[in-house]
Amino acid sequence: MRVLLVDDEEQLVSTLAERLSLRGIQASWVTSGVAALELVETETFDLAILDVKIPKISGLELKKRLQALHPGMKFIFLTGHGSEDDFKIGVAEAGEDFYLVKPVKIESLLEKMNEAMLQQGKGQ
Amino acid sequence: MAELNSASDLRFFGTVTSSVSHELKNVLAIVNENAGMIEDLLAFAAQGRAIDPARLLLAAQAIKTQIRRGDAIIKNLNRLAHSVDETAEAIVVDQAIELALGLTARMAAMRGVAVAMVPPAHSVVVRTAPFAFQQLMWRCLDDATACAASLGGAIDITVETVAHGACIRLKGPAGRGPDPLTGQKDQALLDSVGAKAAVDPATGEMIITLNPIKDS
Repeated sequence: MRVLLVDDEEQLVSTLAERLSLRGIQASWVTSGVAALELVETETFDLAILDVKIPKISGLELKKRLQALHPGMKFIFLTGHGSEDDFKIGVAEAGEDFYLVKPVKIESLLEKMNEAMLQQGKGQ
Repeated sequence: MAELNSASDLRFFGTVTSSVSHELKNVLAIVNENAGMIEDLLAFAAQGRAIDPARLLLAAQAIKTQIRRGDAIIKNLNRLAHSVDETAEAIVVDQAIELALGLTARMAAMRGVAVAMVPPAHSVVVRTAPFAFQQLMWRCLDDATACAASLGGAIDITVETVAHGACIRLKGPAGRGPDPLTGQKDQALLDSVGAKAAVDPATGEMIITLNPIKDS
């Protein structure tokens, strides 16, 4: 499984990527939507884990652009923004199962990643 | 204690606390991941695998950095909360602007706009409504960073003593629109802090003149 992580908090996304790598998952990370779009021009990923609130391009907008480039890519959203409206929008985009609120337990995230990979287009 | 009884005051408080809670979630998430990293490495050690003590130290230092960050965020929120204690008092304007910059830091970061204040040579003190001043600064910084995000550029803030009051300048990229603080609610906010605001479209500078107010 090749995973792309996108979050503007470098300390968060780099450490999470490292922990996933310790578990045998190939994980790359970037801190902006622009960097993510640049990276996918040369590398392919099975799954993207996106923060909902990132500078300039929202996580939801980034998902749409990544999906247009790689229709088979799966998505999980991470958010620290617990508002009801954000939850409704995120669930509509990703499905309730793939919208997680920070901080997350890595075991829960791994479970969701495996579920996402098994999903066939539902909510993705 | 001054009564917080207007819808706009409540909206402002709601906006700030929402932003603060989001940022604190990120602080906790970073602490969570670094604590988890320490657990992961110790689990490897228990399995007899070699671990790098320097990596453990990095994780511990990251946790301490986030604790300092979280403490600063909460201090700012506490300062804002106590700004309603008095309807009017003498404030150190540059310190109040520093608080506003702290409260709006995430907003500016989301827009990709750098905002900085040049410290005045001497502190500028003016009698004003502290909470309303924070609301005014939020309003001005919201507008200024939105303009700077679309035009590209940073925001530089200066403050100086003028006559019996203060002059605050928010300089952003040229080509911005006209004065945004023209509505009835904006005027009420300006009146409550004893301020007047204007924009120079040629230079992109928003100028706020702050005059001392009397206790109501």
